[in-house]
Amino acid sequence: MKLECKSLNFRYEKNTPLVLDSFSATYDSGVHLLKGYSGCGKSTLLKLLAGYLPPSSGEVTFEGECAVASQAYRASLMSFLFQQLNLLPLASLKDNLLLSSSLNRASTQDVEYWLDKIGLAGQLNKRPSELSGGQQQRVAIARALIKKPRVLLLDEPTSGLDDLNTEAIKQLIREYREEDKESICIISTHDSRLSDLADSIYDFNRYLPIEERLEQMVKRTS
Amino acid sequence: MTLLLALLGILIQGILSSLELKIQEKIENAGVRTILISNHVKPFEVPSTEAEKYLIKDLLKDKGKVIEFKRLGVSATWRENKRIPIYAYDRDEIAFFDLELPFSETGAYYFTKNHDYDEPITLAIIDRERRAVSVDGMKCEIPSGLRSFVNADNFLLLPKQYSTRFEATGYYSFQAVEVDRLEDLGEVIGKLETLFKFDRRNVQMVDQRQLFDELEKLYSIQSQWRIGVALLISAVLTLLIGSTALLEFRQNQYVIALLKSFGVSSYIIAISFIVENLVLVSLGLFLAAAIMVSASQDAMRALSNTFGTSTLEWTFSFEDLNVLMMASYIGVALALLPVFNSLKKPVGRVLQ
Repeated sequence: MKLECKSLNFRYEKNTPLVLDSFSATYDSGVHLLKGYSGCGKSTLLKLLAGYLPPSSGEVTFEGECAVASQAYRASLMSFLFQQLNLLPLASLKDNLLLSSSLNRASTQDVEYWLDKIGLAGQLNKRPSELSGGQQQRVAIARALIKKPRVLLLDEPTSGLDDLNTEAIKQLIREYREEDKESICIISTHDSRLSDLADSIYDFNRYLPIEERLEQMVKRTS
Repeated sequence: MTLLLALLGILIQGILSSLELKIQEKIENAGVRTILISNHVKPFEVPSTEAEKYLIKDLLKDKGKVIEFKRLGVSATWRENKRIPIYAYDRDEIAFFDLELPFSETGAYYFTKNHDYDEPITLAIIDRERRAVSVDGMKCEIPSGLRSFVNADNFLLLPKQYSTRFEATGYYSFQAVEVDRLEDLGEVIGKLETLFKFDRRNVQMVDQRQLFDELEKLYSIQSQWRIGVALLISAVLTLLIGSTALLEFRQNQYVIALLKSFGVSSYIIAISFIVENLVLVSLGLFLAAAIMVSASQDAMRALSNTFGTSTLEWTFSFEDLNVLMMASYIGVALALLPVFNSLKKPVGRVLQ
């Protein structure tokens, strides 16, 4: 299985600097970590790989086909965990989980299975606002995994989480990988605790212009 | 806000309907097809009214009939010495008019308002020399047909044979021309005007054209108000729906982006928003129309009581509903603009 980007250029607005400049990479089956400073373009790359942003130029292909912006890719092949989770606050956990997989026809049993797996068994009717940050993060991961995606894109999945919750999330990713060894999991993170999951780590800082890299290094050391 | 405007609209419509009723009553009382020609005959003057009557009859041909009433210069008294005006008529002429007069042997009547039962009475007529002449007659309510000819609430109606002796003191003559068909009214008035102009006669002619004009004017004001209020309500509705849609814009944008991120097609999202808005607005309009009919009828009843008019009618206007429907659907179209805008926006620009 292969997710590939070729000569990607991306800028958010006209006449603004490029966030990604002629970026090319190939992601095979396995877990890939994207590391780098804030604002270096990790999340933007994930959104481009998900088809959530149209590239200014270049292309993203899945299995050799330029299908990332297609409905089928989003509905069945790919799942995305947003940094801000984007759970529906007034909907129950069950509805939140079913919503993401509505096109894959996940059942209530599937929801119960995943809630059990993330330690929230029997809490189908609870609302996200009634959960802690760590629990919400786990629900968001479960929402991404319930449809059994071939491509899993996770944007900062453990930011702000304690070790226990981080370990729970790592375990979910491991199990997902074990179930589908062909799947591709790309994680954008600052968190070094995830390093042991990775089959490969991409240092995103090297794509930054030299001035920005120096600026980031000065900030880090000071 | 919309309700307040609707109530204001109903109130104005009520006032206008009340005015309309009053004019209609006036027209009914005055006689729609009647023209009154009045002349003053001075004491001892040889009247030209007989000749005039024949001229008018000739001019009318088969288009109508004419009757002469004379308002005498003397008056009658009955109880408490109340002075009652006296009108004289020709028994042969009145037979051609369907006035539903009750039976009176002498042909004399004392007409008064709100008199429940007919009763024979004797009145005294005082002539110029202060001599009293008694007349037997029937006291009864004024028949509606007679109201077209005589504009008075209490009067004595005497046959010509009794009145002749009082005419020497002068009188007002009223030639009441009743045109058979309303369509001929204009033509007859035109001919009469030409006749009197040709004769250089100073006569007064009263017809109901002015009242019809007044009624037309009122209808036009009524329709302008109706359209105005409907447009105002429509503008408020459009603004309300439009601004609610704008307030919901961010919420919709978020939900739409989330649905798109899960792979739901933009077409399905668009159709669901269109159907939802259309169904809700149509349902709202249907309920509003149903409530409006009954509320308006209640309001009209209340207004009827307030203005003291017997029947104020409110007819449901599909034109008003059409304007409201148009405004609501324009509101729906406005409300859909942010939805279409959100559908075009890439998911990655909305969700972080």
